[in-house]
Amino acid sequence: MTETASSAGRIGSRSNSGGLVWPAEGWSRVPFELFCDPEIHALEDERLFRGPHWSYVGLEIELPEAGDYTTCYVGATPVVLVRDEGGVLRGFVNRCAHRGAEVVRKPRGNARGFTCIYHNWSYDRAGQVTGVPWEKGRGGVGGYDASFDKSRHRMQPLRVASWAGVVFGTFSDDAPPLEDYLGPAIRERLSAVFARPMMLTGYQRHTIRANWKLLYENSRDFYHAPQLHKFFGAFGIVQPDQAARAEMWHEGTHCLLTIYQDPGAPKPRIRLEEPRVAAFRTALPDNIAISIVGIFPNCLFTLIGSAFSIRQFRPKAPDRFEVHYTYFTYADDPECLREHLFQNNQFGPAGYVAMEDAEVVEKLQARIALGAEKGASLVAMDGTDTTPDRVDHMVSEANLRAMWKGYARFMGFAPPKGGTAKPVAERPDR
Amino acid sequence: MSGIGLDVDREALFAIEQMNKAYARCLDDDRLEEWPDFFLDDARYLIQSRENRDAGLHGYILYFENRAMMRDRVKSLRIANYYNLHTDRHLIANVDIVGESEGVYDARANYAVIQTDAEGHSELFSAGEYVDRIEFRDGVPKFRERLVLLDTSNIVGLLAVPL
Repeated sequence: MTETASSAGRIGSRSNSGGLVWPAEGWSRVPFELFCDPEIHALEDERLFRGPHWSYVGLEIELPEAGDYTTCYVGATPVVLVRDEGGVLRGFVNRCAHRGAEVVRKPRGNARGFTCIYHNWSYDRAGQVTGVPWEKGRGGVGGYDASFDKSRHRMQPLRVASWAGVVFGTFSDDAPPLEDYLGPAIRERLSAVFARPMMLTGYQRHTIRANWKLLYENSRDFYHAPQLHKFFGAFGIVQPDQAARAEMWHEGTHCLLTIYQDPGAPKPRIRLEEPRVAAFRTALPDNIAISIVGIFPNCLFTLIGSAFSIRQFRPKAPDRFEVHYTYFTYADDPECLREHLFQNNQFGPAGYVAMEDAEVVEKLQARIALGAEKGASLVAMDGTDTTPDRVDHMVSEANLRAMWKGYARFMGFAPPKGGTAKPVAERPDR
Repeated sequence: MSGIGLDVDREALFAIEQMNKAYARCLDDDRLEEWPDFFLDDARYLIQSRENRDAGLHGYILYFENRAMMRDRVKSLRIANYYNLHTDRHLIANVDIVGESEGVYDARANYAVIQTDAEGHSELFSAGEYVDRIEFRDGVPKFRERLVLLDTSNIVGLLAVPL
């Protein structure tokens, strides 16, 4: 850990609570240290990923049979999601109750139970200890004493719940019911998408040498889309003035972003020789062309045509995170898989409308990490206020400001002086 | 195919080795416009992680099923996309023919791509295998399919230029 700098000279100065005081200019300034500071990184794991929030952990279609399991991360914590004998989804931390070793070694599979390779402690599908070698000793010597009760040992459980086949987990007893956490608009969008049977089409792993929040912010940033991603514009696929909407939930940190079909789009200057790459036969209601659903703190749904994906954020360090993609499409129409294969060329680390995001956030991170960490980014398009819960055009950064306000609140950072965030209880020193 | 392959079609193997060298040099020289010429018109160029392949999943990082899509890729890289400034070095080894049927050769090769950034730092960017189906046209080998099977299934940064 770096030593905590004194508050002098910092834009976002530290209060005695160990938190961060937002710049006096308000939510239109975002201190760079949020993207660089190891203490803030550690605090995010405690207050966001292990706090009263729900993190995406998988899709039910990945686990159709009893014993099917997948592994992922909730923040820094490795977790296992498994379907038990009764069909119930279980979650637990992938850490042996004995010495802390990794227990589940494959990314996914099917198992009757799990065994740690270190001392062969064994577990059932819920992560409960079922076997301890030499528990009663061997040859009349050793073993655990009478006070040892293996039924009191288990891998740490994760509460899991699902909506429309999308599975979330939380370590906190204070998280609200998942339905309330998602809110009505996101529930409705997920229900609409998952109303038809889905097939899993693949995974993708992506390492980005930047702070995770830079990409989370980027995913709702209307302003950058036509400016940075020239693919749509160059080939006449989406026009910058296309009708769009952003709806914010969960104190501004979830974002339901919708871009509508534009039948009046001008003819492109240059055409793709293979237009199927960007030919969207939308399956979404209400003339929706693109929907990006950000569910704080760790997931983004990208819903375009037949190319559906979920990105799970896995922070690794202040300046490094991984994105784990899960791709899926409709299982009831073979054309959807073909469309999906073509359209998916646009997304992921090699995608026509995605590669720039990784490039931009990595180079941004490199420029703010040293020497410039006392600065702040400017998020003042369309005013400096946070719009309560909705933006109806693309010429705005209001949904970013709303996100930062909610983030600061969940992190326990003091609001800007004169700001409108609700007061946050002081925390003891860390 | 077992054994050490002394019965291989030496003329075909030599031609395929030469094609791999030319392919690497074409990409490393940033002559991307010539890259689709290594393929037949209706050839497939696929990049897939070994993880997806082993799981029997369709997930591709890039899925091109004709040369037009390859030309679109190059055009987009030239006029539309921003990506990391870099140079590539493709190191291709263990080129071999593992099967042949009615003039279509199944070939494999290992590859590694070392990337060097604008400030001169070099890193291993990707390692994996080429799984190829190759046909000869007027004595010149052309890809019917090139599957880039990634051992490096975790892409660091981004993947713009073909592997």
